[in-house]
Amino acid sequence: MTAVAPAFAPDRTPAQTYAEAAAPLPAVAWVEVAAGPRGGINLRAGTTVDPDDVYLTGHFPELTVYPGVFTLETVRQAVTAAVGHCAGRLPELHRLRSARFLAPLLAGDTLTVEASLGPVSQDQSFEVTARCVRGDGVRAATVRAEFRWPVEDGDDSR
Amino acid sequence: MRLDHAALRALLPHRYPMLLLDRVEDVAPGESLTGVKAVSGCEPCYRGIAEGQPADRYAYPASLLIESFGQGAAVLWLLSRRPDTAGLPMFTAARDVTLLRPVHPGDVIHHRVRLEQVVDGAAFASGSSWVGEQRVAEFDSMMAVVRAADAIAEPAK
Amino acid sequence: MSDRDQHMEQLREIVAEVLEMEPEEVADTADFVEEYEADSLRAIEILARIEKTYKVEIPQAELNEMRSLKAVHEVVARYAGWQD
Repeated sequence: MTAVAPAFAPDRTPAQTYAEAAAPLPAVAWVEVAAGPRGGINLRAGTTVDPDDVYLTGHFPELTVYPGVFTLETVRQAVTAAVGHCAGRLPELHRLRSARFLAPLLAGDTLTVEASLGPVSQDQSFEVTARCVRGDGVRAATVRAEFRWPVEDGDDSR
Repeated sequence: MRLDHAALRALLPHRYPMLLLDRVEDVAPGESLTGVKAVSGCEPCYRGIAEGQPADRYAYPASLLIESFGQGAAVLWLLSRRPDTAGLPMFTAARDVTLLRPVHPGDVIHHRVRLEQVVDGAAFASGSSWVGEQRVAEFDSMMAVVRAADAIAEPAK
Repeated sequence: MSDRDQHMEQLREIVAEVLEMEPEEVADTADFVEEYEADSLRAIEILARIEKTYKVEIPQAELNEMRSLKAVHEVVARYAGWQD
């Protein structure tokens, strides 16, 4: 592996993040980033459940429910927007350690993600711990995951 | 037992483009299932990509891969339950899901799902996803809680 | 080690794994919800793991009781026929 010193460099807006890789929906409307302990960062991000989104029209036709996996997608896009690229690669979700979906998100509900990231380890991976809260203050989900910037050939080198 | 797409539509409340299972090739009720999902560049998750992005940006989103596996687990539970049981399993928790390799348009994913345990009102599944001979994802534990079907199918009364 | 101690240690490990804590951090009488921020899904996971480990069936109605390690032990002992 080349000696790219892994570091966080916020350099993307949510709209840019959505446009630069395959994604089921624009899952983040805004992101705020602040420095965290030991070189890590803290982020806050949010979105509103839009029943006209194409994937949500199928989940479900009679009632919009934001799927648990889309909460993961919101976390992923928030992380991507917040940490930026490393050697031209986007960070990817490598290991989902734990995800828990505790309360449903329906059409018009807002979702706020509060997450702590990092620090980045030598193998270009970093841990993310996220709490996701619905507009009425109810905790909607918790997510713990390892993200990493893939190495150059895009394949699994371990 | 084999299930075609029409049979899956009859079992699951998910609809285009969120019905992420194309067919089921084999089911042993109460035990295991092999489900197939063909990834296409026509899927809406590829419509928003800006021109000129490199090849790695076309990797199938992890969120949709996990959902697709979860739908396989849901079908397995639905075919395994006692005839008098109602409701639909809703994905509520996951533990240790590892994404090993990217999946791209043109790939055909095979989900190998095992039903680990069914307790009162909850089900646990595990398994792996494959493209050809390569494992692309591992699922240690996926948990679903059974909810009343009419909570999804007949809302807004 | 007595049967009771052994069962308590096994249950402590199960609870710790579900709550994502170290076993030594799980106190005997601490309330899972109030002290460890457990939610209803965690309770069902603990129940499921106990059923699998000890091959017992515990009705979901008992979940309300199972709020601490000590309480979990009492419920499991009742259904598994432990003479602890």
